[in-house]
Amino acid sequence: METALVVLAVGVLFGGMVLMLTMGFLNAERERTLQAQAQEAAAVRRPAAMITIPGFFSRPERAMESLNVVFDDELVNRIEHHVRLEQAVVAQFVHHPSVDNLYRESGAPVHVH
Amino acid sequence: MSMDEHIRTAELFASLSSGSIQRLAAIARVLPLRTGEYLFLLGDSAQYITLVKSGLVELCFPISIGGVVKDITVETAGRGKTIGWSAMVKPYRFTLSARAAEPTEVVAFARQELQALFAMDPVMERCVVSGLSELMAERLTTFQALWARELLRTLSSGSPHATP
Repeated sequence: METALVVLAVGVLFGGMVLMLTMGFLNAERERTLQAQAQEAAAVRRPAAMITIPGFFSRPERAMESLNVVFDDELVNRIEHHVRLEQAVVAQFVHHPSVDNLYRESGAPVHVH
Repeated sequence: MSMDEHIRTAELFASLSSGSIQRLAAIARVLPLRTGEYLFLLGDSAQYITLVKSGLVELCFPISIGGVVKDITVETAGRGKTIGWSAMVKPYRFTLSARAAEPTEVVAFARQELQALFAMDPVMERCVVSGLSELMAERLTTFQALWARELLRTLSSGSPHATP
């Protein structure tokens, strides 16, 4: 009789432990899945925001701020001014190719902010 | 100034004989453009190579920022300059857009009519193709250098665009 009671008690304890371990594992898996989904959603948003920003404007800490830029005639003029400066520098390279002429400074880069 | 003289001022046709110039003048079409009017758009089928007779043409491509798309001028072509040489090179699609920066007149030559002239005048073909090669080489080298400089800036800024 006593042996049966001991076996029963051990069985209940053991079953309880297994149940607790299983519940803990399932909770952890659910949290991991939610975190992965949140990270994936953020990763999808980030490239979409960056793709439309020209290379000479992109700086990592400003990528999201750039979405607030107003693409007006003033910005167009600044971009085209930058392009003209660059082309003037590159024109020297076209006729006299050299590493110095390729990477000669053209002046201050364009900043959106 | 006669059409022959206009054609002779063009860098592409400067070395042609008088006879070749006259044959070109016979197939030339003059097109007037108002300020801001587009001659062709990026991606259009390219059937005509064009000289700028007077005025100024801006070559541009679209840039999108914050969902707004605008054409940015990357090159200008004044009197005597050739534009639209994509009409002579497969896949015969324009790689930039062209619009008049001011009241402009251009002289257009249809590819098929030019090719018919080339069949009769191999010297003309050699001169024109040589001139086109120089134009294309200059454009290629220019954009190659612009790209290299931009790539260096991107890498130097530590932008996430720079994937090793």
